[in-house]
Amino acid sequence: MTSPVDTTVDTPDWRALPTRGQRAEARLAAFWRFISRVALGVGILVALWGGAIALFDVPIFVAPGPLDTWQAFVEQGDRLFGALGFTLTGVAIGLALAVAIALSLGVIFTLSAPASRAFMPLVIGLRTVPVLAVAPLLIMIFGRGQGTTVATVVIVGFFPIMVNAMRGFRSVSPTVHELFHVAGATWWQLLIKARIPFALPFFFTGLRVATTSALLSAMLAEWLSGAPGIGRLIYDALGYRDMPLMFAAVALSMATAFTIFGLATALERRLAR
Amino acid sequence: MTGIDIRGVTKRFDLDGRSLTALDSIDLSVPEGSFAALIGPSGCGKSTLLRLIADVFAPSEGAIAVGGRPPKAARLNHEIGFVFQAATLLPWRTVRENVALPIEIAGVTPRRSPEALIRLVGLQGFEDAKPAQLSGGMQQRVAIARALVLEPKVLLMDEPFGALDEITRQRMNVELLRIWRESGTTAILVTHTISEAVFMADRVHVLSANPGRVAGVVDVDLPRPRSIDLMKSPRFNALENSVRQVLFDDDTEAESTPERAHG
Amino acid sequence: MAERLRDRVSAVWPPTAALLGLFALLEIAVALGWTPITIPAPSAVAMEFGQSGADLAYHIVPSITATVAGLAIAATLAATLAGIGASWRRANGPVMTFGVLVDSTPLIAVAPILIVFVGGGMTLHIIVSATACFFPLLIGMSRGFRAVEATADELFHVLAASRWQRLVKLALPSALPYIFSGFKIAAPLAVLGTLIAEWMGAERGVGIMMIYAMFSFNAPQVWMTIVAVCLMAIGGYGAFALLERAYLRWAGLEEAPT
Repeated sequence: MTSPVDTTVDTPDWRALPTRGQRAEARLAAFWRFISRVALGVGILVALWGGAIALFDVPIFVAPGPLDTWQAFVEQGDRLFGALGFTLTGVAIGLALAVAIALSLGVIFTLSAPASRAFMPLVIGLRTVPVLAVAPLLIMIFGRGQGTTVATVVIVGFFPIMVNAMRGFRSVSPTVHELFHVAGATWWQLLIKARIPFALPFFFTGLRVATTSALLSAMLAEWLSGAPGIGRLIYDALGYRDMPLMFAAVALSMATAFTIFGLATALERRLAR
Repeated sequence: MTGIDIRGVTKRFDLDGRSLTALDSIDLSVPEGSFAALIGPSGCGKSTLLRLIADVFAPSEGAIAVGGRPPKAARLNHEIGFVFQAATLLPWRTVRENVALPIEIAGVTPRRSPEALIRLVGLQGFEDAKPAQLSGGMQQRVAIARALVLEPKVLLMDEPFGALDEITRQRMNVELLRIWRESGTTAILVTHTISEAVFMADRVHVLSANPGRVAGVVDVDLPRPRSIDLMKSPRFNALENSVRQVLFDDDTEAESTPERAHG
Repeated sequence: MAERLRDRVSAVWPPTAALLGLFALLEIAVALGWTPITIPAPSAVAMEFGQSGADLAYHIVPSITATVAGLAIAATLAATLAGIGASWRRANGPVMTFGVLVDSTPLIAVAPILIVFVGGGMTLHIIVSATACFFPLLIGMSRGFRAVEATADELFHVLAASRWQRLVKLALPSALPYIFSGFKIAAPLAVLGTLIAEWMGAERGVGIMMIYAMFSFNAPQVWMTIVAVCLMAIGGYGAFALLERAYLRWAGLEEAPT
C-alpha cells in the first residue's frame, strides 16, 4: 500500500467460512450428484441403445440389445473377468515400473544440472509425439505375452510422471532454498523436507494422467500382440461374430476405464492438497 | 442539465441464496460540471454505486438520474465515460485503436479525433504502440483518453490510479484535473486515499461499510487550478482531517457494535 | 540480440549433443553386434527412408487426410458444444461430463462397434481420429469462450456495444490463444487416433504399413514408420505453435495460456 493514509478497513467476510462438517456434507452431496448424473447418463444410453435396436430391428449378429449383452455378461463372466484381470495386472505392473523409473531419473536430473540440460528437452520433446506408436516395435522386442503390455504401459506412463515430477522438484521457490541454505540443511534434508513435499501435487497429477491412459495402452498392446487380455477378447469376439460377448467386453472395459479415471481423479484431489 | 441525482438508492445482491445489502438508502447529488469523490473502506459499496450510475447494475430500490434521465438512456446515448482500476485496454489494439474503440462501437463521428485525445493525455508519439509496451501510468492515460473520446457528459472513475505508485499517482492526479477542466464533464472519482479525494474533488462523499451508507460530506473550498504545493497548506490538512474524522467516527462505532465485530 | 542468440545456442546444444551421442553409441553397438535385430542402427533407418520413401509417401497421404479431417470435425463439434456451454450455464456441466467420458473411453473398445456400423475404411479412421483429439479442443474452446475479463465485459456494456460487436471485437480475440493451445495438444492426438484406426484395418495408411513391416520383421521399416508418425505429430504441433506465436505477437500478448 503506497497511499500515505490507508483508510482501508478490514471488514468481516460476507459469507461465513463453512465448517468442517459442512464441507464433508457438501462433498458427499457432490458425490451423490455425480453418481446420479452418471446413472442418468448410463440409463439414457442404455434406453437409446435398446430403443434403436428394437426400432430398426437390428439382427443380433450385427448388434445385440442390452438384454442379450447382459446375458452374455452373466454367462461368460469368468472369461470376461479373467481377461480383465490379465489386463489390469499388466497395467499395475507397468505403472509401478513407470513410477520407479520416472522418479529415479527425475531425482538424477534434478541433482545433475548438465544431465537435466541435455536430456530434459528430449524428454519434453518426446511428450508431444504419440509414444503409443512404438507398440508394434515393443511386440517385436517383447513378444506376444504380458511383457509387451507392461512395456507399453511403462513407456506411455513414464513421460507424464517424469515431466510432472521434475516440474514439482523445481517448484521449490528460491526463498525456500535460501531458508534451507541459511539453516545449513544438507541436500538430503532439502530433498526430503522441501523438494518431495513440494513435488507431491505435481507427481499425483502425472500419475493421474499416466493411469488414465494406461488401460487404453494395455488393451491396444494386447490387441496387437494377441495376449489374452480384454483388448484381445473384444476383437476375438468380433472375429467370430459373437456380438453379445463383444458388447459385454466393450461395456466392461469402458466401465473399468471410467472407474479408473474417477478413482485417479479423486485420489489426485485428495492427495494433491 | 447533466448533474447526477441519487435518491433513496438501495442495492441488494443475492449470494448463495442469501440477500446482502451492499448500499442502503443512498442520497447523493453531483452538480453539473463538478468533481465529486467517493471515499470509504473496502466493502462500502463505492464501486457498486459507480456501476449503478453507469447502468452496469440496476438499483433494488430508489432512482438515479443522469442529466434528468435514467442511467440506461445515458448509457445507450454514449454519455458515460468509465475508467476502471485496471486500464482494461484490449492488448491486440494500438493506443490509437484503443482510444477509437468507443467511436467504432457507437458508429459516430466525434468532434475530437482520437489523436487529439491522445495529445490531451500527453501520449503523442505513442499512437501506434501496443499496451504491453506502455507503463502502468501510460496505460491508464490511454484508458482516460478512451473514456473521453465521445465527450461524455459524465466521467466515472473507479480507483483509476489505485495500482500506481505514489509519485506517478500524484502526477496523474494533476494531469487528470487539467484534462477534466478542459473537457468540462461531471466527474465522479472512487478512491480510498484521503489526500487524493481532497485534492481532486469539489465535494467528498464519505461512505461507511456493511451496509454502505453516506456517513458524511466534506465540501472542499480550495481554489482551482490546484497544484501539488497545495497539499502543504494548512487548509488542505484541515480538510483531510475533516474527512478522516468522518471515516474514523464511523470506524470506532463499528468496533463497538457486536454484530460487526470480527477477528 | 547477441545475448539472446547465445542463450538460445546454450539451450540447444546440450540436447543436440546428447541425441547425437546416443545415435553414435547405438551405431557402435550395432556395428559390434551387441544389439538385438529389433534395434537397427540409426543409419539403417535413415537409409530405409531413401529406399522406401516412395512407399511411405503413398501410405502417408490418406493418413494425413484422415488426421486433418478428424481434427476439423472434432473442432467443429467442440466449438458447438463449448458455445452451448458458455452461453447456457446449465448446459456446461453435462457438456464437460460428456467431454470427460469421451476422453476416458478406450478408443480400442469403441472402434469395433464403429467397425460394425461404418466398416473399416476412411470413415472409421476419421471418426477415431476425431474422438482421440476431441477433449483438448473442448477444453481449449470452453476456456477461450470464458476468457473475457470481467472489466472488459463491463467496458463493452457501458459503451453500449451490440452482441455482435462484443463477439468480434472482444470475445473472439480473447479466445484465440486458448483455442490455439487446444489445437496444439489435439494435433498429435489426432495423429495417434488415425494410427490406431489404421492398425485395425486399412488398405493404405502409415499405420498399416507399420503393421506389415512388423509382420515381416523388418525392423528398420517399423522404425521408419514410427519416425514418420512422430514427424506428423510434431508437424501438427509445430504448425499450431507457430500460428499461436504469430497471433500472440500480433495481439501484443506476452505468453501462451496454459
